[in-house]
Amino acid sequence: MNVIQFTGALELGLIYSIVAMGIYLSFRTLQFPDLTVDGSFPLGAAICASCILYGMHPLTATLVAMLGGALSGFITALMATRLKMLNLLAGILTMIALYSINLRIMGRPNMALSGEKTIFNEFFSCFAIPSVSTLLLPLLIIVTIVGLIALLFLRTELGLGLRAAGSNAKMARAKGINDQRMIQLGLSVSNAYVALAGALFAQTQGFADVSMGTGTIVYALAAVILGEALLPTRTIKQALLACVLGAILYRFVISIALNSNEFGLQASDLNLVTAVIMVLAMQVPALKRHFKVMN
Amino acid sequence: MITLTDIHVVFSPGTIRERKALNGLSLVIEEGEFLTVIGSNGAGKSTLLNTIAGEILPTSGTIMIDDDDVSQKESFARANSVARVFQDPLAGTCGDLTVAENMALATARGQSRGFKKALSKARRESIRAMLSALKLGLELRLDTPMAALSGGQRQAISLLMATLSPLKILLLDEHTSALDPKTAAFVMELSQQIIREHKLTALMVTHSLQQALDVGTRTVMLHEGRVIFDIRGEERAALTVKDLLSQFGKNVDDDRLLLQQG
Repeated sequence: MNVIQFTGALELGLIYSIVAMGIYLSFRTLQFPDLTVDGSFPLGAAICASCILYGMHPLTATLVAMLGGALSGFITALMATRLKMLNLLAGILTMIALYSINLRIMGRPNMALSGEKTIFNEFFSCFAIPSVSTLLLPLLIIVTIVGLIALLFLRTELGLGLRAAGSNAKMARAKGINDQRMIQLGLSVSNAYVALAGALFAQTQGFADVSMGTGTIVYALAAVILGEALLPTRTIKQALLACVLGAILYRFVISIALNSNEFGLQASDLNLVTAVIMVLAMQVPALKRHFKVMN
Repeated sequence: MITLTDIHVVFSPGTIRERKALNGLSLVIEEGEFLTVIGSNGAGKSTLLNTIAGEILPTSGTIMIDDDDVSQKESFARANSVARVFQDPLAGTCGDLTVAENMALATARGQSRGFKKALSKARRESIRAMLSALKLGLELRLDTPMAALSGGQRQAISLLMATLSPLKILLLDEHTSALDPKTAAFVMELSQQIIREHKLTALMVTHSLQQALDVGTRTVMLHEGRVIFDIRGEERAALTVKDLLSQFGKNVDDDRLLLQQG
């Protein structure tokens, strides 16, 4: 693994850690398996790229992308709560609908952003680490801010209500919490995060592509599960940190597996490696128990 | 005052599984009354409770809480006046949340929730003080996940949580029946103490005829979705379980009711 591969894995890990935090919100906090993300990630990229090419300020473009993501999550939530559709199905339908919508937004299957203004060359050029990475520190700052917002939100009365609605809906209702509305709020915030990650991906990698979302949910879940397997997640702070470190770690494992010649793996083996990593990660709690008993 | 007028609740109407759970039930609960509700399985006890709470909306009939018609309001919309403790200790609290977070949830029952910090220092301290009054050592376990507590501890906290914000009626749904006898006695004692101290209006569903007469100020028996027996005051004080059985034996076909007479 050389320096470029190292920083590349770190950068991608940081971007996907925002997706992982979004998934933590929907999948873990609300216990809602939300497949919208495979559509809202490219949606964020598509909106952001289109807006920038249209001449919009990159920061505004990023915020519009988040808004689009929130809307897509809200639609999934509406289908699940108002139309009483199966959670999985609601997410899948939004996801495939977004594929067409993303094509409409961009007007073509992909868009290049090379040479355009991005939030990175507009705001963060002073944070570049010469000859290593211009993106690492800016991404770290963004992830820290976004993580802090999630942490503070989940600690408010509203955030507590959201966690209660996901943990025990009947009890939440008895305490005056409208659990349906909490699902709508939670999925909106979750997909705003995912779309933000998509927007950052487009601005760092220099393109948006309609098929770039495929597998987002799996990568994010892998990050969440890897983080939970290896780190303590008793408090929200720990859980969010585990999302970030899990996402980075996942990218490293993938990078090592695909770039080392010893394993004989190639880029197309990514999905197989991901599946194996997830299976292994999910065995960690059982192994921990096993060794605890043996001692 | 809680007024239920001609409440009908029909499950799966128009199908072969149609079942009338409440069949024209009317009941007036005065302020400060402590009702115990008995009846055999399927008599409509739990449905009555769920209808007052709003988990089940009646097919027809009206429910008034004071002058407020809540008949078609969902449970979260009447949580400002109704608090409940469930039969299952796991149901009344959030296992994933800590003890303090559960208490904080209850403090805001029925109020709108905003971006205020849920667990401020001051609130943590008041929660600690309230928990220490239970004398269960829970004040030392504020940050323990609720799931790590025993059933009795969880029911005790559920009761405490019910009193954290103003309420018109407290609903107890066989809330001691999933506990061992000693813990059940403790939780029952605590319930009575809390209802007395806070002068609460309460409705308790029970399967024990003895308990139904020992506790509270008024006893109601349900059968086939209707009130068939309603007694209070001196008349009730003089009543024994035997009287109840001989009078209503034909309706008490539930083994659980009979077995507990020993």
